[in-house]
Amino acid sequence: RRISLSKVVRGDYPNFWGPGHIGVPRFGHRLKDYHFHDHILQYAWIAAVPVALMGLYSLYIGPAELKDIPEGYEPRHWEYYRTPVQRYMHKWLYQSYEQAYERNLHILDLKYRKAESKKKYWIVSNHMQTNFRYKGWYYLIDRRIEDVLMFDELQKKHGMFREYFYGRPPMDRSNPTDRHM
Amino acid sequence: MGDGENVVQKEFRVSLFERTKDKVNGKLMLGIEAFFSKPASYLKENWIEPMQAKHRGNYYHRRFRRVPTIDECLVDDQLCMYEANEQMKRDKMVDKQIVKHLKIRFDECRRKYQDGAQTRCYQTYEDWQNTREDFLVKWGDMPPQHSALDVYYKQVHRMIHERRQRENPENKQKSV
Repeated sequence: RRISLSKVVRGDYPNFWGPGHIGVPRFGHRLKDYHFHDHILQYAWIAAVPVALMGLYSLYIGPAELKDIPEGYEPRHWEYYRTPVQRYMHKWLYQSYEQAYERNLHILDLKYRKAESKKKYWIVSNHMQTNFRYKGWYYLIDRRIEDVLMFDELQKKHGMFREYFYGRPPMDRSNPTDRHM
Repeated sequence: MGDGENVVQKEFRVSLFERTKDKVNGKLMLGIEAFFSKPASYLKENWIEPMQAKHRGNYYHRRFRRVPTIDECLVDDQLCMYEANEQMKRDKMVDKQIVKHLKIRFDECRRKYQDGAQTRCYQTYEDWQNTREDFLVKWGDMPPQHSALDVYYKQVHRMIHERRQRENPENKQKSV
């Protein structure tokens, strides 16, 4: 059983909260040390368990060998890593490099197309505002063009016009000057 | 005896004490190292390697295709610029590793030829320093958040400067 003699020999001055004077021998508190030690161990066990499990898993499976990519084979994204823990994480938890890359490209594409449309809209509306006094200055979007193109596509694809509300005859496109009312 | 060509000329002689010290130290150090490494080698080779051979996998290095660089991209083409930026970052990483490995070669040469490094390692030193200079010429003096455009324009400015120096040799600057 250890007794801390420093406070006895050197006459370490007592705590403010303790009774006594310099020269009174003070012994260490064993229970306090054990209590602190228990807390430290409990904190360490929280991390030690997953680390030990990962270590045993790695030991059982072993690190991968570096090989050349065979012809006509596209490796999965977790097959680019060496340790089994890394492979597991990248297979089940993380997303692949290609996925993130394509996602970023998609976002940039959306932003690019929206910005291009906004540019054109700004140009046209600026033109309309500057030329408001001229006759025929307004430009309306002809939405029948999209319908015609969709109709042609579907005709080619299915051989007939697939409508949600089928049974209705298709539109009469013989007179292009009539506006929709 | 008496043959001047085949006689071994010893420039120095090691004493018995020094020789025993070398042997004892060598064996002692090797013994200490073996005390720790022999059990581990035995276990690894006889128990762990066969167990791992059944479940171990293969891993590969990534291969990237070459995409158009920033000078081949249209203005305001975000997709092309993104891909060119990624390619630039990859090329920069490759060049960094090249410089690093040349330094490693130089250090290995110095470790091998301890006192003769000054004469026998100069080639490795030159290779490393020249590559380092070229790396800084190409990738150095950039802002911290730089893109492929910054690198490209640095090259453009450098080529313009070289052309001007060639055209006007009176104002030729000395190399720094």
